[in-house]
Amino acid sequence: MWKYLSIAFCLVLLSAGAFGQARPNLYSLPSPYERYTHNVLTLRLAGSLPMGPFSSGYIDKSYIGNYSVSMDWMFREMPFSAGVEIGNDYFKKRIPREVYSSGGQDISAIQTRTLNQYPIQGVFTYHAGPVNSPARPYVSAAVGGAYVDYLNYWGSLTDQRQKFGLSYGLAAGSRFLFGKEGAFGADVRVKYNHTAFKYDYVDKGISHLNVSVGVFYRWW
Amino acid sequence: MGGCSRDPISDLDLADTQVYITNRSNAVDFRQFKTFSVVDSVTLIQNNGSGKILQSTDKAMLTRIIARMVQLGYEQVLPADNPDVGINVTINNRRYDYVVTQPIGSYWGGYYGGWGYGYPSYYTSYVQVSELFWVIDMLDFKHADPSRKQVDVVWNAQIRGEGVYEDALVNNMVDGIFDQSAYLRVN
Repeated sequence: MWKYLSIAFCLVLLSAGAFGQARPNLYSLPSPYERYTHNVLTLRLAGSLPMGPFSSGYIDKSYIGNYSVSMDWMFREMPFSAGVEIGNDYFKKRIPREVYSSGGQDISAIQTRTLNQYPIQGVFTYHAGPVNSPARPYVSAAVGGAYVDYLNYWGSLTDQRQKFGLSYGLAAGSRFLFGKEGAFGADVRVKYNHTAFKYDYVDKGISHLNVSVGVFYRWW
Repeated sequence: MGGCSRDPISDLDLADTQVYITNRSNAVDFRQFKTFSVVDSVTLIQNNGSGKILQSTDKAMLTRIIARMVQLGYEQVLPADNPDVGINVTINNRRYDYVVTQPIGSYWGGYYGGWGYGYPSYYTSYVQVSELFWVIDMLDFKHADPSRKQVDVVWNAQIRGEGVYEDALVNNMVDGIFDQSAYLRVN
């Protein structure tokens, strides 16, 4: 009897020892995206809708085909990221021939109004929910500068002003992972952006709403 | 999508690229003028100097200006018959014309030799790197001031853009500058 019990005891000890020596189970560990600060590269294609005095005074027509590239660093075990975003916002509006009068001067021309800006901004983002959830909403604030190229064609004559101005933005959006714990995903965002600029028809800066869809890739 | 390659005005035809600029003296009532005379040729101003030119486009330009003035009720007289106003037509063909001065041909110099022309400072102009453009000036001979030796330019028109030396577009250009100058009338 004792013999059998001692064998059983030894088996229990052995098995316990075996369990103790088992390698960590990879499938029960948090993913690397949760464990490490990791990188996210996002490409966005946007439609831009002019707003405020910029819209009423210069160009009120929206433009589809603007874009941006951003690089973000997702902080480990925190719902925040910091990054840099550069982009291009273009606007254009054609105004049929009209006579513009001022003092003793009258100018008859077809105006082709354009504005092109290249913002470069630092972005701080708060992300809601777990790192690997299929949909992860976020809000972000951005501040930086933008190179602005104001170019108003009077017929074929040009009235141009190029300047670097302070630029900031507020955005809300969501990321959607392609597959569980995948490296790729989609990004949808609405962003309000304002750039300080003052010249001729634009007297209170450039405001617009940027609606974008994009793709992102993340790695660590 | 890139900003550098865009040409937002590539779809404009020649007439659409043209800009008609007119400046008037705010101190003048144009109804006081009854008679006018127009130069018999166009002054061509280039980088290397100026001269006279009278090709088909220039003739078309002068003819249309006379027609529009007569249509407005002004009477055309010879330069020697003391017109109330004189109309001078210049075509500028210049490069690197950063500071756009508005030179006046020497035609009227025969009558007002050595006189300067008074341009009010608000006859603003545009800066161009290279451009061919028309300048049409109306000179106030009625109030020529012997003490200042000056003739005031009471009306100034500039025709700029592409195709300004196309015969087919001349009437349209001249109509453009007259149509936007409703103050040019005799009563």
